[in-house]
Amino acid sequence: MAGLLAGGALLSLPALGQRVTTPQGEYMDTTRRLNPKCPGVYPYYYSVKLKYPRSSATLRAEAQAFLRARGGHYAGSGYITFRFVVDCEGRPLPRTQVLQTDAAYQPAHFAPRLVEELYAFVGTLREWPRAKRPGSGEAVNYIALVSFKLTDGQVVAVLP
Amino acid sequence: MVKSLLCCLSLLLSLNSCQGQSAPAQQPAADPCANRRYQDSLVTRYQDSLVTRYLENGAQRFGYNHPNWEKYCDSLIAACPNVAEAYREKAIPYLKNGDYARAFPLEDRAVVLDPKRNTAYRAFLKCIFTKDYAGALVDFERAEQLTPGGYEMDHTYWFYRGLCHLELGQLEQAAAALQRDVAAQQGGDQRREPHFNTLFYQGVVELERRRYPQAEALLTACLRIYSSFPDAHYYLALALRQRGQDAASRQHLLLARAGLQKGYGLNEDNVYYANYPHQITRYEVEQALQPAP
Repeated sequence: MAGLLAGGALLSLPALGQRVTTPQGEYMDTTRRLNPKCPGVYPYYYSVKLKYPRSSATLRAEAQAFLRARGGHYAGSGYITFRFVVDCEGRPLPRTQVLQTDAAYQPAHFAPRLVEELYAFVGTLREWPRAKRPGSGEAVNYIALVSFKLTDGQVVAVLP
Repeated sequence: MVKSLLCCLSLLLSLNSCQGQSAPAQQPAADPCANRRYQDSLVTRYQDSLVTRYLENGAQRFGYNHPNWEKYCDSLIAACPNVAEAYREKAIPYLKNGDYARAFPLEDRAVVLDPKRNTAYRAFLKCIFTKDYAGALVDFERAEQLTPGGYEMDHTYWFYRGLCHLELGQLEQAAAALQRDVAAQQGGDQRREPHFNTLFYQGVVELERRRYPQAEALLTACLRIYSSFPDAHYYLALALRQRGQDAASRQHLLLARAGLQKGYGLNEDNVYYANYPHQITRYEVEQALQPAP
């Protein structure tokens, strides 16, 4: 569905999660938009030795402040994880998978609004580093993830 | 079906081995086939050959993000559903790629099948990868019972227990656990220097306990071993600032910045996959260098 609107400006609004379920999993956005300047290589963040340039403690405090400012009250414990590609120019691409588990790592679903608020928070992270392929130095895309550990609706840690 | 066939194969292998080595009839006591340990060794040899075939010469040739990784692991599981290593290996890409719902049931299966080898590993994953500190403590306590004095990823279980308590705000217990880690490393020889990351976390715990002179001493000792360690410079700077030593504090923040710029950082094998507790980035250093409002 979202693919029909690929390239549309509306889809770049970070708070508009679409929550589409496909055979490959659950997505906040299924739009496939590629940067033509970037080769289609997708190593994971650890293969290019990159993570978002904030400590887990800083991200936890920022995420918690973001939720507080939006005035929501939530429940539930476990993990909400967003996976997406950061292109070779350091821009996150819209297609975003969401994975959710309870605290015992069993598949679960949190309140949709909480998922959408955390997705909106991820959209505020604008300093993704650019990856270079080890050896050649060629700029490449990479797969990033941001995972929120929640206890009783509070963000208690941000992974990785 | 496949499992049944392989069980038959395993049985045939055992029978052939037994026939080849059977003792004369007049010496039944020497028959190895009657020996339970011998029977177990045949199973182990068979399993080892499958591990070699499907993991060492199979999955591990491709890397864990290649589709063949899981195929080889599944092949081993189909052949021998009780080989813990197959589940542990199969879990690796899921764990590192944030799919915890798929990773942890596999880790749990590995623990059930071989608790001695896998309980501490699962504890480590909970401590470092998923920040499930309470869950990690439960597993590390169990691991200590199963393999007293054991190590996981280069550190004693006490080291990780110290980190878990630190992150849970249980500072007295964190200090005690890290002291047990030091004692285990020294093995009675107090002249032996502990690992620099033990000294680092001991310093952080003392900082959190607001015991600033102790924090300063421990972080300084850490930096004597790893002089470019940015995180140790950063927390030493915070301790010095609390003691009113602003110039020295700033100096260590600048050293932290310089270390990060040169690519130094918290030195652990898994640091590329997950941030370690209290690990910092350049951002936190720059924030600390800002003049107070």
